[in-house]
Amino acid sequence: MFPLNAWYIAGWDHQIGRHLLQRQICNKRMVLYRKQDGSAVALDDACWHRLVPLSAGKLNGDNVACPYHGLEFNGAGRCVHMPSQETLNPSACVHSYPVIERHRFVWVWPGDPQLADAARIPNLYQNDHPDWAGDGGTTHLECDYRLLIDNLMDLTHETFVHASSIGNAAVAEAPFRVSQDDEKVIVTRWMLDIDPPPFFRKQLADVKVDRWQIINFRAPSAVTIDVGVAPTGTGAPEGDRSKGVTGFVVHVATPETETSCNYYWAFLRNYELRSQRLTTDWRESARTIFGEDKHILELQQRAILENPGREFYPLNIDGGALLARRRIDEMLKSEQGLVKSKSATESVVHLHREAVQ
Amino acid sequence: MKSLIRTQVSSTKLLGPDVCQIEFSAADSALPAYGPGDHIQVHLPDGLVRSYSLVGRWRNDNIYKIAVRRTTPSRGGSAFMHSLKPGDTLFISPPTNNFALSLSTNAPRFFLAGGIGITPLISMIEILEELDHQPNLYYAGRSEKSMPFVNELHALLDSRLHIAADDKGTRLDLKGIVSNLPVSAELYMCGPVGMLNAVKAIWTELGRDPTALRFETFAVGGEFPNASFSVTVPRLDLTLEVSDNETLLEALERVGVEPLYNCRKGECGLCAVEVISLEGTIDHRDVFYSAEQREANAAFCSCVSRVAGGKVSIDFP
Repeated sequence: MFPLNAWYIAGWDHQIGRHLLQRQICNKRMVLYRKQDGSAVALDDACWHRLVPLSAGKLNGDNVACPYHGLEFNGAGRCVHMPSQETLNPSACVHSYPVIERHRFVWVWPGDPQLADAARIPNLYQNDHPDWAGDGGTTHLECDYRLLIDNLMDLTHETFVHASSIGNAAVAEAPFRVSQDDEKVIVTRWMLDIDPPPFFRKQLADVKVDRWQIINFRAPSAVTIDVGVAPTGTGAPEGDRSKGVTGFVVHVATPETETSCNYYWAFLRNYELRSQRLTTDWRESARTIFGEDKHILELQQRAILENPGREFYPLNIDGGALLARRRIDEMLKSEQGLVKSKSATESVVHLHREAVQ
Repeated sequence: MKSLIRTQVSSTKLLGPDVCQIEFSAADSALPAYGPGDHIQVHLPDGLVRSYSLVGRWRNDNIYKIAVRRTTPSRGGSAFMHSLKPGDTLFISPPTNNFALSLSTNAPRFFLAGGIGITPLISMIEILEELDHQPNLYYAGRSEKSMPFVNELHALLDSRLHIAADDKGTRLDLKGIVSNLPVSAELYMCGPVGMLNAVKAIWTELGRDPTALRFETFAVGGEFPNASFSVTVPRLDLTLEVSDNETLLEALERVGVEPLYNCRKGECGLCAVEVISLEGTIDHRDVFYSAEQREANAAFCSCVSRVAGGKVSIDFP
């Protein structure tokens, strides 16, 4: 269950290039490539003529040629060549999805194009900003993307899933606070005067620390987490993080099907910006850590399928996840039965009002 | 096949001497959403199927609006549609689209309508207007009175509406219009096939991007008025008369021949017949053949094209 009127990551900037790349996003198969001017294109991956995947064809200049009969479509999805006839059929086109490249990701909008407002892309500026350094990767998950959101909205699991890296007893025991505003759901957890977990012990001397995790969810599928540690007593809870280290973790899920998704993540820092060693070390640490999540989430998805009709039993720790799911459900409800509809139109009017202000 | 939707006519209104506006709602539930340029097919009681564009953008008020021009002689569809009264039942297919408005580019959008060809363009114009794209519309007709929705369009577009009416002696200078379009402009047009083919020729002559010219055909009207003509098919030892209110394709089907066809509006070329001999003039009303091919008269599309006062001997697969 995924809203279609939303921006989803189709790939890292370096994954989309002068070649044809197939992606399934919200059950829709798309073919992605870059035109000669560098701009990215996402088309429906089924030829207008006999539905053969265009991604199995060839890139010809700015056009994609169908592997079956050579019909060619340009970046706007319009047919520019038909075999054995002198004219072009006027209805020959494939859907061209709105595409925007931002913060090192290529975003596509699978829903109603007239609602595709760039302002609705979550702000992940840290992924592409001179004050920040770091890198990320992609992990394919055989699970409902919402299981990943649930996972990220409650980090109690770190104690058990990530004991060798970022988890320790404190995470599961420290109190947390759930809050929300118009744009996001927020879960804040401060762990004061604790032993740093293994990953952070490497970054700081082995001293008692105050550790924070501030999780921000933006519907339908972006979670950013402001994390870090500072030696206890240096004022981090009061706002002075200068003696500590701050990381910013980007997590965005792109649903592929009801039970699979691509997990785009990045682990960024705002110090020692020129250290490639730290960039590599943090990225590979993250890859290992998120691999542990993959293991649990795929086990969970299998169990869900094997227990039809069984519902979760939410606990107090699931407050953030429940609010996040509520935001997703609200988006789904507003789309129900009316993909190109009144609620959609109302958002257009609303966006215009914002633009005028 | 998708299931039909049972609807009920809620209002009818004459929009001029020969155009009737019909509004209808779903009898059993709400009507589905539709996008700009979408059309529906109306299934008439006698089995005929007619396509009509949905007028205006989707408003989720369970009302669909269409506008139907009465053609003389009527091919059965328009006379029936004009006889509808509030409360009447109408079976329709769910909306589909062969004339998509692309929102993936920021190209300036221009529109060109001839008469009733305005109908698919209105939803597109309304949406672009909402998105502040400032579309321009060139709109031609026999008289301003006969041109549907001209007042509403004037209110919406003001100076971006450009009207030409035969009775005022004003004509659209198609060549001038196309020449003055910005290089990146897209032109969406709908109207009689003569207008479409004239613009296509100008477009090609000026070397403009062929994919930036978007159009939908209406399969009505040609260079000559409808007249009956006789047809022989030597291979089948068949002679038949195509009356003025049927197409050659329909006449062949009437006598039990099953020619190939797909779009039935002169776009796909599947129903093309080969000309063996010809007396008279072929009135090509398709957009499948190029200008050179139409001139060569070696074949024509049986779903829309006719012979003006004469006879033709044909063959087909």
